[in-house]
Amino acid sequence: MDIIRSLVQSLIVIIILAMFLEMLLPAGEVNKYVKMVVGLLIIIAVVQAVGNLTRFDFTGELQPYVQKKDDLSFSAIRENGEKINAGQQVTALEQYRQGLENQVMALARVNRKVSVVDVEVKVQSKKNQPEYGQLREIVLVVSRESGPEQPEPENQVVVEVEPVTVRVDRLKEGTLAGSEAGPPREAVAGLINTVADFYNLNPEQVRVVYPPGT
Amino acid sequence: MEILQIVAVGLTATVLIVVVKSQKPELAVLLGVAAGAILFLMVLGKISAVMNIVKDLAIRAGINMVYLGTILKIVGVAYIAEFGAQICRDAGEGAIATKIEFAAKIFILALAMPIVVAVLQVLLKLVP
Repeated sequence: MDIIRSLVQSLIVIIILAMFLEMLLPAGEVNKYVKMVVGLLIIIAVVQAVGNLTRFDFTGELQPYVQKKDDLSFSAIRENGEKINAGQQVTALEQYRQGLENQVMALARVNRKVSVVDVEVKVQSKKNQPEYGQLREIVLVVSRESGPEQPEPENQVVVEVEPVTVRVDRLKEGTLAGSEAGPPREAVAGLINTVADFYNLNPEQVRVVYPPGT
Repeated sequence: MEILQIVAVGLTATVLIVVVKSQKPELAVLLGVAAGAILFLMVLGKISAVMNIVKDLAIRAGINMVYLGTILKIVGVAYIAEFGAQICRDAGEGAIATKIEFAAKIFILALAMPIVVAVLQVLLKLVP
């Protein structure tokens, strides 16, 4: 009952408004055109009133007409469009770069002899260059420790560990030979070649660096 | 009684125009424009009251103010075009008057485009 009463109230107000607008119209040749537009407005008002009752948003698609900018000159619109376009290009390039980094990381993890902790991908970001967006360099940050060797499934036996000897005097001298050596050179070269081949790059464009402080 | 003032201004302007028209028709046109402007300025204060009522009704009806603004612009364009076209007709330039009305129609349709698109979208949304 309340719904019907509300709808009738809305319709009464709309009818009175339509009457007011009709009275405002000038008499003359353009009268029928203005009448047509006022009629369309009344249609919108009635549909909105019905839509409000049915909790259906009929104005959801009307945002472009509702948002009113102060400066609607052609140059301002074009400037805004270029700004949006530039922003989208930067965002797209950044997402592309991050996607490549994830892909390179996944590819590098296939090689279990080298432990890659981070990947940095450099792409051409200058728009005036013809190779805009192309891969320039891939930097692999590799841990000095070798990657975890996975035992073969059929060789799952407990490997005996040789007796460990701790020599405090040698440690004081700072000869951390094992950790400074890093992963085998052949493994690193294999990783570089794999990544370079996958992305059709020169091996010089794939660099391996070690994290500082290790 | 402002209506008396308005009628007085109108009658005075009419008499002046009739007198001047026989001697200098070009001045009669200018007198007509001036009389129209004076009459418009005299009722300008009242228009704002009407607009306030219309705005209040539109808010109660839940009509977006953008649409109401468009309608008022269209009404304004129609009035200005009618004013100009009538002056042209009084001066014996019916062709120019027709062209002013044609321009006003184009402007009205251009202003009405957002409303037409809105109606179209609403009607399309109604179709399941």
